Amino acid sequence: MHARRIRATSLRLDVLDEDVPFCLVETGGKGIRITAISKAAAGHGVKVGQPLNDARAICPQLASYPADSRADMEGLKSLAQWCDRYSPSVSLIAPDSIAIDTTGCAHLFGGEAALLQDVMRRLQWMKLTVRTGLAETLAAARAIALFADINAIGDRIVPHGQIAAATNDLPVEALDLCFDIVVLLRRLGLKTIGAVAAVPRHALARRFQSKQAAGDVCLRLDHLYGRRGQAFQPLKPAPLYRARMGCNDPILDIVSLEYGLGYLLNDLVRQLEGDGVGVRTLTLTACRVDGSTRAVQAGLSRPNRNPSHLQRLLKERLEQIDPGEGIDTLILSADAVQVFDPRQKNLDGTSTLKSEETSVLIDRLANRLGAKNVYRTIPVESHIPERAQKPVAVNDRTVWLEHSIKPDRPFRLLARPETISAIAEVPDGPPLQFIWRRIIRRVVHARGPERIAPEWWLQGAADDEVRDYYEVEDTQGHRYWLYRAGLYQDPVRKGPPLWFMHGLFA
Amino acid sequence: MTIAELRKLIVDIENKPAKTPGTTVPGDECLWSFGVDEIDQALPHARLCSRSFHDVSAAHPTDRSSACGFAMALLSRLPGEGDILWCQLVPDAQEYGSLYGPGLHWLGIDPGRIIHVCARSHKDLAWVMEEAVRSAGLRAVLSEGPALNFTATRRLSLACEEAATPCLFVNLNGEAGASAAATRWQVKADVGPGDGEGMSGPGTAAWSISLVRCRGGQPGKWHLHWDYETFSFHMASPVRGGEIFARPADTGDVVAFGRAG
Repeated sequence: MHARRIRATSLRLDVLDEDVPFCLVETGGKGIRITAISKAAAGHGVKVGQPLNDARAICPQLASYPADSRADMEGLKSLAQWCDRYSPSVSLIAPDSIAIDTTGCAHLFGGEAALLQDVMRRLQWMKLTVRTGLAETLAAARAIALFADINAIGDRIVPHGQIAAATNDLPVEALDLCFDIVVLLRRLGLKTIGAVAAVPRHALARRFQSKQAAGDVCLRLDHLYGRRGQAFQPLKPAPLYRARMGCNDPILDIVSLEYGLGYLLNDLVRQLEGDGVGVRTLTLTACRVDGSTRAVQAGLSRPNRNPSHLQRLLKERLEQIDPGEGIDTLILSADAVQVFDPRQKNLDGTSTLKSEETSVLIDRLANRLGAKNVYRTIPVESHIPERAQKPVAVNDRTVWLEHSIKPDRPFRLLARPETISAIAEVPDGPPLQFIWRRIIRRVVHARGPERIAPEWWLQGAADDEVRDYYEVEDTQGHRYWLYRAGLYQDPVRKGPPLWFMHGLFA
Repeated sequence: MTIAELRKLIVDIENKPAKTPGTTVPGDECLWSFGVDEIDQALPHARLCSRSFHDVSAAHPTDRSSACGFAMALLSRLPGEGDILWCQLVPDAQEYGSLYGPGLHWLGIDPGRIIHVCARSHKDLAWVMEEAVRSAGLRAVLSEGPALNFTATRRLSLACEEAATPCLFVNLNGEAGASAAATRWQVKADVGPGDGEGMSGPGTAAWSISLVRCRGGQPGKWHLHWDYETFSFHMASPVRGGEIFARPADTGDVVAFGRAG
C-alpha cells in the first residue's frame, strides 16, 4: 500500500472574470476548436473541444483568443516551483495540474485540512480557479480534484483506506483513460468508477476487443486504489537536506532576508552536522506572494558547513532576489553534499587549515566572478603550445613534471595567435623586421626555428600547418615568440606563408 | 616629551624600519631579497618587506610583459611554499595573454602553485586582491591592471600588514598617482646580452629597474639580468646590457716578457 499522501491541484485560469463569454481556441486538423472557456461561456452552454463555429451559433457574443500552450506550461511550471513551499517533491501533470507529495509535510501547516485551505487561499488570491483533492494515491487525488463536486475542504481529503468509498460515485472519466475506452465503458453501462471496479477482472477483459484496453482499465484501477505504484516524477529531485521558513508578514527588505537566511542556515547546518556531511551546492529559494519564485545558488569548491562562511557566500547574492510584492516563504536546500570531517588531517599529517582557508577564498571568488574565472592549470601532453595546458578546478592540483616544461617557452601566451607582417629570409630564416599592432619592430637577436608539426591524429587538425617558432628580441629589448605557419616552398599552398605573434617573454 | 622621543613615537606608529640594515623587522622573519647587494642595500633592512604591498609599474605601455616578468621573478625569490594568486582583467587576458605554465618555470615559479583569477571590472580586481590578501591560505598575491586609486592601495597595504601576505601589483598604465605602496618600482625592458652563439639568439631576460619610492630606502636605478639556471638576479653593466658577459675572445692573457739578453 502507499504510504504517501498525494494531493493534486487542478487549476484553470480565468482571464476575464466578467459576464463576457470568453474562450481560448486552437487551430487543428479539424478546424478551430475551443481549448478553454470562461465561467460566462460555460453558462451559455459552450463546451471545451467544440468547434468555434458551433459555439458561435449558440453564443454569438463569444470572444475568442488563440491559446498559447507553451506559455501555459511555463506558467504552470513556475507555479509548481512556487509549490516548493509545501513540499520538496512537486510534479507537473500536463496540461493543467500540479501534484505535490505531502508525505510528512502537512504538520508544518497544521494538518492536512489546514494545508489544503492554505493552498486554496493563496491561489485564489492570485486569481486562479483551483480544484483540490488529497488522497493516498496520486490517481485518487487527481480524480477527486477534477471530478468530485464537493465544496467543503474537509470532504476533499480522502481518509486512510477510504479511497473506494470516496471515488465510487465519480464518473469513469476520472480514471484518466483515453477517449475511446471511456466511450466504450459508457456504452457498456459502466458509468461510474464503482461500477467498473465491481466487474470482475476476467469479465472486464472479455468485453474489450483488445487486451491492451482491458489492461489499461485494470492498471488505472490499480493506480487508483494503490495496488500498483504510480510513477511520480518530481520537477527536481528532492534535496536531502532542506530548511524552510514561513513568514507571517511578507519579507520586503534585505535585512529581514539576511535574518531569515541566518535562521535557515542554523537549521540546515544542524542537519548536516548530524550526518557528518558538508554542502557543495546551496540554493536559497524565495517564494513570493504573487506565486513566482526567485532562487540564488552558491557553489563550494570543497564541502563545508561553517554557517558564517555559507552566510557570506549567499549574502553577496541576496540583492539579486527581487522581493516583488513580498516573500512569504524561504527555503534553503543543500542540493549536493559530500562527506566532510573538519578534524581530518591531510595524508602527510599537516593540518588542512591552510588549504581550508584557500578553499573558503576560492568559493567567495568563484561565486562573485563565476566558477570558470577561478582556476588552476595542469599540463597536457601536447606539442601544440596552446594545448599544452588546460584549466581545471583549483582543488585539482597536479605536479608540473620536468618533461612538461619545454625549453624556450614564453611565460605569457596570447589568447589567440595574431597575424603580423614580417620580412624574413627565405626559406626558414628568422624575421628581420615585423609589424605587430601597428608598430614596426626591428629584430636584434633571434633563435630558431623550432618546428612544431600539427597533431594530425586529432579531429579537425588535418588542415593545420607546420609551424616554425622563433624567439626574437627587438631593439627595445622586448622579446617575442612568433611563428610562421607553413613553408615558403610549399607546392600546394597559394601565396607566401603567414606569420603570427603567439607569446611574450619577460 | 622631547623631539627625539616624539620622532621615535612616530617611527613606532608607522612601523618605519630604522635605517640600520641587519636588524630584523618585527614579524617579518622571512628573507625576501634580490640577492644583489647594490639593490638590497638600498632597501630598509636589506630586504623587501614580505608583509607589504609593492607596486611595479611598466615604464611604457609596451613594457607590460617585462614588468610582469620582473614581478614574477621577484616572487620566485620569496621563500616558502604555498599558492600564489594571479589576477588580471578579462580584457587584459584577451589582449596580452595570460600566464603560460610551460614558460613560467624559467622564472623560477612552479606553475602548479598559481591560482588564476579573471576579474571583469576594476572594482572586482581590487576586491579580489583584498580578499586574497586577507585569506591566510596564500603565499602571495600578484595582480596586474590599470592603476589603483590611493584608497585601494591604502586598504591593500593595511590588509597585507594584518595578514602578513605580500602583494605585488603590476601597474599597467604606469601612472605615478598617489600610492600607499611600501616600494614602487618602474621596469623597462633592456636589450639582453644575447646568447653569444653563432645565431646570436636572445639570452637571459634583462630589465632596467628603478626604485622610485621606498619608505626608509634609497631610490636608485639598476640594470638587471635574470639567470635562468640559478633563478637569480645579476647586475649588468650600466653602460650597455651584456657587455660585461661578452668579453672578447681574443684578449688573451698578459704575458710577462723576459728581459732581453
